[in-house]
Amino acid sequence: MAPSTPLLTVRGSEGLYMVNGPPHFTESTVFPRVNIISVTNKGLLHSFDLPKAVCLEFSPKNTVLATWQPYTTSKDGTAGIPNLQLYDVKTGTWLKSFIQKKTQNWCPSWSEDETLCARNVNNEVHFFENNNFNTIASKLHLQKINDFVLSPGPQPYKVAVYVPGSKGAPSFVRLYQYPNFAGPHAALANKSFFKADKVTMLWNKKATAVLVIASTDVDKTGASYYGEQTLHYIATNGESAVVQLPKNGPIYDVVWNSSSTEFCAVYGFMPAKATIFNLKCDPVFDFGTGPRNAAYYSPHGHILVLAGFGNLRGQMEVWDVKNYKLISKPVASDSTYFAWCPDGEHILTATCAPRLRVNNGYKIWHYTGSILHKYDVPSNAELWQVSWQPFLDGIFPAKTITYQAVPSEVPNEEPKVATAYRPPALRNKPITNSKLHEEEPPQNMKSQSGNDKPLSKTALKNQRKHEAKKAAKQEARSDRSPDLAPTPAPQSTPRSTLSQSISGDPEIDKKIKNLKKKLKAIEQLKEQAATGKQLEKNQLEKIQKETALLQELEDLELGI
Amino acid sequence: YPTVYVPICTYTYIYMTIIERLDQELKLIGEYGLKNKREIWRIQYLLAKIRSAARYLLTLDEKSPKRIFQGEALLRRMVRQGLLGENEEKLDYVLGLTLPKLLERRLQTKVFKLGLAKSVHHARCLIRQRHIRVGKQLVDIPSFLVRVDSEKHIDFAITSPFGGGRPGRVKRRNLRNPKEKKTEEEAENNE
Repeated sequence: MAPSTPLLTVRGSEGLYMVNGPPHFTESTVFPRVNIISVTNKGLLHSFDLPKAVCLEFSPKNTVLATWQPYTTSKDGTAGIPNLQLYDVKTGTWLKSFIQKKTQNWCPSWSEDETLCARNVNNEVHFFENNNFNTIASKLHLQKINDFVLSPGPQPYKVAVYVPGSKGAPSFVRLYQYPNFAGPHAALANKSFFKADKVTMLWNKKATAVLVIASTDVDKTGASYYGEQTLHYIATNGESAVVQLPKNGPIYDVVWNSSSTEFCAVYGFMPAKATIFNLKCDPVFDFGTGPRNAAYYSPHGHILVLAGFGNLRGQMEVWDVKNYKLISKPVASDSTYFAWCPDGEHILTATCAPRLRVNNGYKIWHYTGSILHKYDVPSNAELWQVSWQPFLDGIFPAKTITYQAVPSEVPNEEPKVATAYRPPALRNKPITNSKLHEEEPPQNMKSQSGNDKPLSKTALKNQRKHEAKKAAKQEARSDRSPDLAPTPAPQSTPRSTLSQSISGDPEIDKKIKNLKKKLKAIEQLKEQAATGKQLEKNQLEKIQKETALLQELEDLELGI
Repeated sequence: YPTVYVPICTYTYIYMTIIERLDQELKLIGEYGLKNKREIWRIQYLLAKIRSAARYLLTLDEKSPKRIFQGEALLRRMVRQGLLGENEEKLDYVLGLTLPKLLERRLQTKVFKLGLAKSVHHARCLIRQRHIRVGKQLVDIPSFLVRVDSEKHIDFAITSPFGGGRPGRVKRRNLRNPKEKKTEEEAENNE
């Protein structure tokens, strides 16, 4: 029973409530206990007595709840109580507890259908099957294993593990398939590299490849304060490569697209470059440079948003990924949170505390750049979190992309144009064009450099002929109009309104133009037939298609 | 006559004329981890041959078949080697090539730049000690000029301990002999 639009949950200093559906307010005071509340039944399911519970996590199918309390040892030095608790959500029984001293990676990871659960302990990764935590199904033993990520998607499951390097030895990321961990050829793929202190591993949806962002804490060459990052690609068939990024600088964001055939990376010193790479790590399309540090694919994967949040002003660029065309460039200033709606058409940007305490609120945009809904929290209140109701992948269908802005009631705020300060002596002088950064336009908008060749003689002649024709047409029109001023005027105006076609959508305009051309050609053929000339077979076929074309033209013009 | 030794070095004047070149060469050696001046002069000779070829072709007429054929071949080789970019396929750009550009294509600098080594000197050691492969081929020559399409496939060798092979001689010996010492140290490291 999915509602037609997803619900929006808002959590702030006013309370916890939902929007776009029946708003019902539930209290959000701080409880010393952990309560599980069922949203559909609005009833309290279970309650656990867990003082000082700091973190909570549900398993993917909501059958198990994991909670973590800080680890304390009692005063006489004996080991403390196990602080990672696992509970069964349906029955409320306690399943198992473990000792977990570190907060980092405290939560065990589940596979998507919960048949596997894995936990990192010392030098091993323990795997449990079917939520049976009393017996360890298998273990993966690697000295000093630091981090691991389970692959998404269906079986067979794979694990990507990261082991940092010690003196002299490089750090490496290895891919294993569950449950083959033993033996010299167990690893599906292996990639070693030296410059890595911390690693982020990103599986693609089909679980065929991992992108690894290896970052160092200190950049030895002194180029960046934040350390150095490199991007590696490892595939389960054993291929591995370093992704060559044309621009130097930190890697801000890397995302896989939903069909797992391409990934987009935003990298380089500001203004950052964004490029889409294919599975061979060759650049497919380059978006040029701009103020951006994040990339988000829509849930259906046909729209990509390049955005600049955080220390950037909030400029977003919405791109159609199939045709590589820019759809719109909205600006969402001071946003801290960005999320696509599960229907793939709407975007939520929000300014939340504690990151920003002023101007908290959220905005809902359509991807063509218009604000559909805006909510600003009253001045002393804060907004803590906003999120869409999650939906499974197939529920909303993918719609065709429009380029024209959807009409909205909320006026678009025009931010004040910032002019540079000029001292009194230099004001009112002619403007010199000086730029701080070299802006690089996207790949399909770069002017072709091959047109520098001087035009050949025949090309020049043709150009001149063309211009002469145009000039003659203009003169003829201006000659005609003063003579027959009143009569052609009403005739020409309906024609011109038809030809201008009101729709702002360039795609539909093109189609209308083509149809009109075809209709004109058919009319000419009809005239020739009337004068008695014998028509060829294909010309006769064209005349027969006339009614169909007329119907199409009407549909397109009505659809505007 | 007693001879008088006047402490004036006649070589100082010669030194003044070459001090700039010596500085440049020393900088290149430091930056790219080269072994001696000969490695620089070797690349200089290679660059000089390329430049003289381009210079000769530019003196020919624009449409002469020799210029077209040999010019295209030269440009193709330069692009393949990674010395010219995609939009720089003209003979004039070949004349703008420099030593650092050629030195960047060495396997030693590529291994360092791709993060497989901690420094250029470390890269040279790794290459010479047979840890690096390009594609499927193990390469232990630091001055191997890497082509553009091989650049992605520079990785640790399969038989190297860094690339997934069996551990090296020292580690194997330590695992075999004082095993008790090693296990104690491991237990301490885990806590």
